[in-house]
Amino acid sequence: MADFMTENTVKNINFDYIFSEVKPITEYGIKKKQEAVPFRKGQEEDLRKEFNKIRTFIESDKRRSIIDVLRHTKNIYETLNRAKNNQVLDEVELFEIKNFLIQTEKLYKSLRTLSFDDLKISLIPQLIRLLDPADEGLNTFYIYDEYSEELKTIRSEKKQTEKTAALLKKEIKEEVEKKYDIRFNLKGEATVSKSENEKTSALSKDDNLRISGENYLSIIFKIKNNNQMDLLEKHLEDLKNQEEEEEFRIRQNISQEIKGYYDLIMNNIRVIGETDYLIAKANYAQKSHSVEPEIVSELSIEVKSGKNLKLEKSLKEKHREYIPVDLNLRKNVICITGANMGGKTVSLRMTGQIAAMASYGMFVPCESARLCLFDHIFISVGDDQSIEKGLSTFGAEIVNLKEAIDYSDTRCLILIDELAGGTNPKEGYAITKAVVSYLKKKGCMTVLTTHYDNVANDEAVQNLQVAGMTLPDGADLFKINDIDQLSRYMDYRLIEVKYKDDIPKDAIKIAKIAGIREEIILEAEKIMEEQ
Amino acid sequence: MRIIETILQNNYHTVSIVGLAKNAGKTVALNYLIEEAESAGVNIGITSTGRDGENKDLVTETHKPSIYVAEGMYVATAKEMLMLSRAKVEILETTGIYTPLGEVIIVRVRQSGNMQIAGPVSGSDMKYVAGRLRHYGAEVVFIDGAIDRKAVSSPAITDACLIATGAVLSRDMKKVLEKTAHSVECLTLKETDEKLKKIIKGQNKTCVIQNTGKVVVPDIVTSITGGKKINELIDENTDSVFIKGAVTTSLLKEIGESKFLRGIKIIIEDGTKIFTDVNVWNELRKKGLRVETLNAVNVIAVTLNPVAPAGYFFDSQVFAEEMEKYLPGVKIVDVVSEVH
Repeated sequence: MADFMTENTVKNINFDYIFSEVKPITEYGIKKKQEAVPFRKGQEEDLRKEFNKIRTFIESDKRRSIIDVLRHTKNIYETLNRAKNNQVLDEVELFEIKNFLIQTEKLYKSLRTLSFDDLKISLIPQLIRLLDPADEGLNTFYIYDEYSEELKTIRSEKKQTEKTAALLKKEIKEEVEKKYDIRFNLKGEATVSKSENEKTSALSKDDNLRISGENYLSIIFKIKNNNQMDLLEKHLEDLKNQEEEEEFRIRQNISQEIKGYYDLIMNNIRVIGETDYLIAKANYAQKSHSVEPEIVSELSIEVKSGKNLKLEKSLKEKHREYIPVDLNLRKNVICITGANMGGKTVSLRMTGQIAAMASYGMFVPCESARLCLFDHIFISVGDDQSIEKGLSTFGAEIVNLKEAIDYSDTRCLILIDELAGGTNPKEGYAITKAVVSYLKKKGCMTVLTTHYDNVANDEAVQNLQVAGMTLPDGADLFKINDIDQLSRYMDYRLIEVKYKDDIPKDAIKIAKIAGIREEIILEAEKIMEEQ
Repeated sequence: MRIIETILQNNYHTVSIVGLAKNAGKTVALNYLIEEAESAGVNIGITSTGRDGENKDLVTETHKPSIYVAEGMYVATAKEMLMLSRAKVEILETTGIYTPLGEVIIVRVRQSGNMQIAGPVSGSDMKYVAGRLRHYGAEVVFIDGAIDRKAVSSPAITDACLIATGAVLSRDMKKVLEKTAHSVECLTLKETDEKLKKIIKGQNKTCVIQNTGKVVVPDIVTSITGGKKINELIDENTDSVFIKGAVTTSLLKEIGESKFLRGIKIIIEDGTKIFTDVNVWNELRKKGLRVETLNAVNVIAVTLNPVAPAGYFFDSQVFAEEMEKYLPGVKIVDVVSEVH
C-alpha cells in the first residue's frame, strides 16, 4: 500500500477504518486482503471485471450458502505442504484434507451457476473416494478396515485375542475370589488383613497371585499373569505393532496421493481466498449502502451524494446526521473556497476516501459515482501526524508539499488543505498561486482548499465554493449562541463559481454564534467596513 | 442405587469429577463411573480440564488421567495426547480450541485402549466441547476436573459433580472429614429465593440490599479488596450482601466484623467461588453468618480413597462410616476398596 498511499494519507482519508471493515472469513481470504494491491491507470478493464463479480455476489442468492462453506473451511496450507515434502500425514491432518475437499465440492456447486472464468473449483472426486473407502458419505475420518485386507485381518485377530485374554483373566479372578473369599477392586487389587494369617500365607503361595503392596495392617494382592496370559499379551503386543505399521503404510500412500493433487488443491485454495475477499467486499458494500462506480479513463471525479463513512459513523453515535456532498471535479487544479466550518476539509477527505476505495476494487459510499484511476493518492491536512513529530504547521505542510510535487508527473490525486494557511498572508498567497500555476500544467489532479482570494481566478482552475450559511430571516446570531447548532444553518454543497475574486466572509458570523463578546464582533465589523 | 442411575434419573448431562487434592482418587472415581456407565449401556463422552497459563513443559509434566476408553465412547482431547494413544479413533471434529498440547479434537473410539485426556482450559470452551460431545451422541459427558479446578463444577458449566476425597488430605482423619464436609457445604448451600435472585441478577455486581429492596453498589474494583467498604454499608436495615466473584478469607473476615452480622445473609454466585479458610468459615458460621447461593451445585456423591501415596491409610469401613456422619444424606462410595 505504501507506494500508493503513505501511512499518513491512509489515516487522514480514514481508509484504515474502511479497510478494516472488510472482513473475510477464512485465513485464505484474510491473506488475499492483506496482499491486495490497488488497481491503477491502465487497469480499468480489470477493475470493471472485479466490480462485476462483486455485483454478481450481491445479487446472487448463493451468497449465504457460500458464506456457510467459508465458515467451515479451515487452513490446510501447512498440511498440504507437509504432504508435498513427502511427510506422512496423521489422522487429524487427513481429516482436515477430507473436510476441505467436502467443502470445496459444496463451493463448486454454488460457484458453477455464477460462471466466473477465474473462479472455478477443480473437483477431485478420486481423492474424496480415497478418504472415504467405506463410502459412508460422512465428514469424519478413520483408518478404515477397507484400506487393506491385511489391516482387516490384523484387527480381527487383535479383537479375538483381546477377548480371549479378558475371558481368561476373568476366569482366574473369579476362581481366586471364590477360593479365598476375597474381592478384587477396579485396579485388580485385593486387600487382605494381616490378622487373617492363614489366608495371607495361602494367598502368598498361590501361583496366580503376587503381592503388590503391604502396610502395617494388611497385604495387597494382585493377579499375576500365568504362562498362557503372558503368551496372549505378547501376541497382542505384536498385533498392535503390526497394526501400527500397516496404518503407517496406508497413511503414507494416502499422503502420496494427496501430493499428486497439490496443484489442483492449491488452485482451489486460491479460488476460496478470492471468493472470500470478494464476498467480504460485497457484504461491506451492502452494509455501507455503497454503489458500483463507473470507471473512466479521463481525469475526473464525479460523485452524487458522497459520504465519508468514518465521519458518518461518529456523527451517528452523537445522534447527528451526515449531510452528503456532490463532487464534480474535472480540471487539473480545483480550488475549494468558502466559509469556515463549511465542510471543506471533510469534502477533501471524502474525495480521497472514495478514490481509494474504488482503486481497491470496492464499491463507493454515494448515490452514484464516475471517476478515473490514480497511481497515487496524497493528502496534506492541518492535523497531520508530522506536527506531532515536532514540525510546525507550516513546516509540516511544506514537507508534504514537496512530496506531493515529486509525484505530480504521474496520474496522482493530490489533496491539500489550507495551503500555506499557517504563514503570513502575503507570502502564503504567493506560494499558493505559484503551486497552482505549476500543477495546472501537470497530468495529475490537485484539489486544494484555500482562503486566499484570486487563487482560483484562472480559467484553467476549477473553482468550487461552499454554499455557506443560510440564516433564517431576522435571526439574531447572538441569541443562537451554540456552535454545535451551526450545522443547521450551513449549506455544505459545493457550487461552481467563475472568475469570482472574493470569497464569502462567514467568519464573523460564526464568531457571533460561538458567543464571542459583542464589542469585539462590532469592532471587527467596523474594521471590515473601513477596508 | 448406582451413581449412573442417579445421573440418568436426574437428567444430568454433564458431570464433573473434582478432586479435593492430588491423589484423592479422582481418576479411580472416573474409571469407576465409566465402568458403571458401560455396564448400564450408557453412551458416554469424556474430557478433562486443561490448566491455564502454564508453558508446555509444565503441562506435559503434570499428571493427566490415563483412561481406558472403550469402543463407542466419545472423547475430546488435545492432539498430542491423541497421537500418543493406542486406542484407534474416528476423528469427528477439530474444534479450533488450542491448548499447549495442541488443538482439542473430538473423536469416537473405534478400538479400545488407554488415552491421556487433556481438554480445553476455559469454562466457555469446556461448555462448547461438552455440548459437541453430546451432539455426536454422548448421553452423559464426564469432565475430569484438574486439581484445584473446582470451577468446572460451576453450574454454569456442568449439571452436577462428583467429589473425590481421600486420606491424602491429612494424616488426621478428622481433618479430612472437616475439609470434605466444608467443600460439600459450600457447593450445596441453600439457594436464594427468586425475588432476591431477580434483584441480584439485575445488578450483576457486588451490592448491599436493604430490607426495603433498595440496592447500594459499593464503589470497589473487585470484591477481594472491598470488604471494608461493604462493611461500612451494612446497618440494621440491611437484608443481604451479594458478592460477585471470589469469596476470600480476608473479605469474609472484614464483613464478619460487622455488628449486624446476625441480621444479614451473604449471597454468592456459586460454591466454586469460595476460597476461605475452613476455620474462619466455621467460626463465622457459629457467630451467626448465613450464606446462600444463586446456584447450588448438585453433588451426586463423594468418593473416598482411604490410601495415601505417602504410605499411610485409613480403615475403609471406619472412614466411610465417619464420612456419612459428617455428610448425612450424601452418597459415599469408597471407590478403591469398593465399600458402599
